[in-house]
Amino acid sequence: MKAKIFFIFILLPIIAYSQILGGGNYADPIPSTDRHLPFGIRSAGMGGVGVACSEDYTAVFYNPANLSYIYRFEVAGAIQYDALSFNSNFDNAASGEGSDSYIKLQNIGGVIPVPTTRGGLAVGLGFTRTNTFDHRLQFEGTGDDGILYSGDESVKGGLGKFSIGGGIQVSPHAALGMSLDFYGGGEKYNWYLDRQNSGGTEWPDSVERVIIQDDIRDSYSGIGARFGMQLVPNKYVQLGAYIATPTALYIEEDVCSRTDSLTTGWEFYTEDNYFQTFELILPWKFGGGVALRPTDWLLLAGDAEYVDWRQTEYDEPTWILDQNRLMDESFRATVRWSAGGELTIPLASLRLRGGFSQEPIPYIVTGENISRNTISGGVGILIGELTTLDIATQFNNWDSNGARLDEEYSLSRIWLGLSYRF
Amino acid sequence: MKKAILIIILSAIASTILLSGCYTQIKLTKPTENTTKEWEENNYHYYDPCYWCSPWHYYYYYPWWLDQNYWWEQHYPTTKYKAAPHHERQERQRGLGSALDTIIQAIDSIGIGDSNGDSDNSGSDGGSGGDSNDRSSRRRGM
Repeated sequence: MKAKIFFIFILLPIIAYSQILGGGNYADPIPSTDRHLPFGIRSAGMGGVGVACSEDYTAVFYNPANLSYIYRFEVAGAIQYDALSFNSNFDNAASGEGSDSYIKLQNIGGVIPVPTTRGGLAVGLGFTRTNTFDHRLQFEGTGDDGILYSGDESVKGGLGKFSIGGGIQVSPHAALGMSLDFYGGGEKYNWYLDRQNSGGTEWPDSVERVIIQDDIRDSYSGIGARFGMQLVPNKYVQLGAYIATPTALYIEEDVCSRTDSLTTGWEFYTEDNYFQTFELILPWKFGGGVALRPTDWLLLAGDAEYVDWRQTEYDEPTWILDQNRLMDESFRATVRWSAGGELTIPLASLRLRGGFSQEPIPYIVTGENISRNTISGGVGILIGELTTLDIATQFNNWDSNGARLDEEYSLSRIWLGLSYRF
Repeated sequence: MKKAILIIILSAIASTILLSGCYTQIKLTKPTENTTKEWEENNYHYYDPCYWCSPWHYYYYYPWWLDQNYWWEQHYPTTKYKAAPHHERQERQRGLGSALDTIIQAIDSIGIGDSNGDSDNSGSDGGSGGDSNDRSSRRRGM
């Protein structure tokens, strides 16, 4: 059992992700620490900013204090379309390229504002995807040693949270807010590797063919909280900040692992099915943002979030606590930042948005682009007085060079959303 | 699990503190004529009214409780089932009472007329014609 677990949790991720430096003991990559998504379509069009300038229900995800500046009921939602292209190189022996696409519900939620004579008070609730796990990888080819490699990795799923929170203005220039985040999600992981050696005579080359096929299904649940503050010293400047508590994630994992070894005269096939659970604690998050309104038709904003991913730790079961001592060597502290703007077209019910964001990969990896740089754009159209149609698009690319596998990805993303206020 | 409980307890404490904030004043009654003016004076110091993009300003910053008076005025009862004014109800009841009285009197008179009718008819058959008090009414019982 221990050997199987070692295979699944140490060997497979290294082969699959190949983002950890080789030559030592490193912790598993943890998908829930990576590939974060912006919350809400308006924010997505502006590069992901929202801590200081969120003006809709997504404030419950970014900075709950901003809910207190919302004065109308709101119901909104958005879907997300991802088109992913990939290139891979395995041991300089096999390579591949291809594409895949994914359509997901991105977020849905609303705001309930309370009537006030002074100040503001509102409750927000909704669901949003926080991380995406979707990606694909394929390679095939023959190395100099005559060994044929064929690999295919497919990962589908993501992590999301249902949040409920409130914000209240506590002075003419300040507001506070908090939200409870209930996490949920899943991952369907499939890995196929075929290694064929036609000319080997000595162990391990005497094995002519090995086929590995693994199917892993993870389901996530968890809880966390976020406390936010908003300062509005004047009508030109808005300052926001938040602290997110450590998030406790409970992971249930169902594994089916198959290995088929073929050689002259015999075949050895093993299949293991087992179920296990983990408790993972994601670290504190600290974020801040600033929004500038030099005129009534222009908004400029920037956000930054600091997370020390080395403080990620497993809590249960006991046998996996060994991973915790490897976190320092495998993860790093990151600052994820974004900047964007929104331009209101005079005398038209149109808003144009644009932005840029950079998300460092939390694992210690090699390669030229160890951060994901994203360019965003979007448009908001006011239909009538109370409905908006929003479109946003994002483009990013990243690569990582592992011990054996080099990966390059290019992602195009389109968001489509509708919001209604009454 | 302990961490989850701790997070919920901390959140409950924090929300209690937030809701006890002294600046924001909750208004759960119908706004007066001055409410809009007072609210704008209290709250629009951080937003410049956007004269070039007033629809967006309305969408984002105009409170629903100042805009939708039906929430306060027609919340209950609705216009469809609005009760009639008191004097109108009295008038209707008065008319209804008169109609009932008339019907009852008519029914009574039918009964009386029937008993008298035979004698009247017999009397008239006699060709005496009788005086005006004995004259039967027209279309009686109709």
